[in-house]
Amino acid sequence: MSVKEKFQKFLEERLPVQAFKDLSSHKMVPEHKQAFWYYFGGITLFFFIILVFTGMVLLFQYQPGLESSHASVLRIVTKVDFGWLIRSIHSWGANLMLAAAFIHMFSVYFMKAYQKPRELTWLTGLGLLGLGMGLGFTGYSLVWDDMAFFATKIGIDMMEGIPGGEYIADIIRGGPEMGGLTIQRMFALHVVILPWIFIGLLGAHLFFLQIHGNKIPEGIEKSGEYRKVPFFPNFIFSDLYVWLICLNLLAVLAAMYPWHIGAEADPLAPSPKGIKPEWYFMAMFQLLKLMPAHVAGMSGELFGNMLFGAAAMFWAAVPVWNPAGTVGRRAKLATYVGLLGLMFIIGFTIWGYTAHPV
Amino acid sequence: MNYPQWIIEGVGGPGIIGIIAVSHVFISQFAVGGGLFLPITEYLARRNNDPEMLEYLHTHTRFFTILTSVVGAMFGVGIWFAIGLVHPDATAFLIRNFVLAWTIEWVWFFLEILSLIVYYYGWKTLSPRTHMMVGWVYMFTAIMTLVTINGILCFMLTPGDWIQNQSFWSAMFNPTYWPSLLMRFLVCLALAGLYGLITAARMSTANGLRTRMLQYSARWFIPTFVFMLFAMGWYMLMLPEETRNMLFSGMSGFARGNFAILTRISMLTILFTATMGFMIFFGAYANPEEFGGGKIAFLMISALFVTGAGEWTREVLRKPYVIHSVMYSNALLAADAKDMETAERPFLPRIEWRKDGESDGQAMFRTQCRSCHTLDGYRPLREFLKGRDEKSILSLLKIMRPGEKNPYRNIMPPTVGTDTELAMLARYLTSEVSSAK
Repeated sequence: MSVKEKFQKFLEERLPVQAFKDLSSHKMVPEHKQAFWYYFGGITLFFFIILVFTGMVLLFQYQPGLESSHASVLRIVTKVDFGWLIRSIHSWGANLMLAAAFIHMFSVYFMKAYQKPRELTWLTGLGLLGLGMGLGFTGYSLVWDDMAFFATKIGIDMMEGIPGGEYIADIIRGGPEMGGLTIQRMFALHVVILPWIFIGLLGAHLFFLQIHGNKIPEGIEKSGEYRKVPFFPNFIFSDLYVWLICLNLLAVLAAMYPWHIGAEADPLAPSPKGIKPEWYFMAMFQLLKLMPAHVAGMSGELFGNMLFGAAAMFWAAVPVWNPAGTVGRRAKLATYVGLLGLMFIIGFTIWGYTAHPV
Repeated sequence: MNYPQWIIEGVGGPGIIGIIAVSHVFISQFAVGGGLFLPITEYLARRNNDPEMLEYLHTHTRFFTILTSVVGAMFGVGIWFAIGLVHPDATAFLIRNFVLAWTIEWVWFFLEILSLIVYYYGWKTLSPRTHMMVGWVYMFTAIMTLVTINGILCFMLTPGDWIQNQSFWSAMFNPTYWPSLLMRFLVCLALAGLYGLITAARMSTANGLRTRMLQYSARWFIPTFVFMLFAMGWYMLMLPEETRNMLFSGMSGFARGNFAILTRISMLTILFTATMGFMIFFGAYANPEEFGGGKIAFLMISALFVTGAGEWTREVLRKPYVIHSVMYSNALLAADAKDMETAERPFLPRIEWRKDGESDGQAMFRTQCRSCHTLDGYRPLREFLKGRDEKSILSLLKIMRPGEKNPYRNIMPPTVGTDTELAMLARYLTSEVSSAK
């Protein structure tokens, strides 16, 4: 037995790589003209990994606190070597992750990959998107500049519009007003609580994906215009290829368009002109802005929030009202609902940005 | 200032030169890399008695010949056209000093094209031995074009001892000559493999040749992936210290500005080179079955970015000169600027060519600002001077006079002329700024 073989045997006895390799080469992934959309789940995961690492690096410098939050971010972006870059990668990465997650969700929806037996994959995915938005919201506030402060304030105030929301808002704020405790709690949510839940849910999501595999769209499956390629190396290497493209895209954005930081938040100052939330809350924000003061005997804000809650539940329940095997008008209805949802998000986001220019 | 200039709004003169030059480099360095790729691949195919590989190479040669000898040459002429019109003084200066080098370059280039044409058209008619011989001639002449032009390009950034001894050989073999040659040679190899991937990916998957040629072409990237960082480091060490420092000026701080962007572009160049190596491994080498159009497109975009970024970095590192320490980017000679530092000599009489009806202020503007600035496009003067009145513009122009007190001395050429002349320039600039739409 050669030294190389001995070494491989030594490794194999302790870490059975070959077994994993065999398993992954037997696992097959469909390849067809719409297979491009499969990559967006992996892209979302890639950006999440980037966020974990850059977040850990930022923790070495960031100091949560009323006096220190803004000052430490300012120091990171002006004094620390490559600090601006790490923060910029973290901020751009978060936005790209959410963009990829939205694309992933809609592609899954239109491929009807939520149908039996993939209902749990769908629900855990939606949970991850919600947590991702929560991470975005809490992270945005940690900079404690004027825009972040007032956008966070508006976000928390919006929570008060839902039944029992005032208690949640109070817990997040650490009292009736935003202050040092708000930063402390946002920080705890952002770096510990939400990431741990996210990782757990991500594990479940990937587990369900491994069990059920990728869904082949019905039309393609019927026509037989697809082939199956091994997960390893074909799919995983293609996935890595796409990750490298995403890394380049992220690097260009982070390096050439470094993330902005505004003046330190002043709670006593009037809110700056053009105050608005991050783009992924913009459609919701714009709809609430359009609500009249009172609708159907309740406040417009409450009505808007209830509308959102109902729409989100309806969206999440799509495996129930459009189960596998549905054909005809009912099957088409799900596609129309998806298109309506997509148009609402894009349309209201653009409307929000044009209605509230900086 | 001795010749008429081509004034271009929008992307500006440097932008036009940049677009043409990067396109040319992207193809001409492939031509040099291909100079190795074609005969070496043919040699291997003949040695292994592999007619399929030879057939692939024949197809690749057709693509190669059309791209390099037609498109590449067209961009080459385009560079001469653009630099001659946008920066006639610098072009004239380089021709005067490098007439011998350029003559040699054109001889190599003529032989390169000739041997390539014989190589392509002789595939079916020449004996294998003669055809190989023509291939080796092509390889040699293609490399020699790089060996020659590299000296002139490097001279513009690091003229080295030429400043003291004015020797042609000092100019050619200047401090960055060898590291730059190594870097460009590595880029040539990578591009040879990269373009090889394009033709290989288009082949039929039937007989396994596609996979073989994809993996073969991918291997051409290995020297670049292994040695490029070392070559970049060597190149950096050979730069003057103040130029080297410019590369690090954007490490901390996120402010905008050319030098901060210089650091960022350099970092991106390194990252893109590294990721291209992994892309070629995960794409063409380890997963050839799934390697196709979309993946090639991203590879080509990355390669084009690296080429453009590398050339742009070299250009910006020269700032504020077009020929380092010799001629400023507005054609003012460094020696003349030194002369104008103490004695307030008039500048207007130095302008040999004047446009019909051109005012003195406009002539000052054309000769001292227009090589780099546009009004509203690239490096827009109207935006830079917005909010300043005539007095404020004049004081800015005076601050920028030659000498150690000029805070912009490492960024921009100094302004020269008497107080009256600068006042004319300030008045003209004010009128341009106030006429903004």
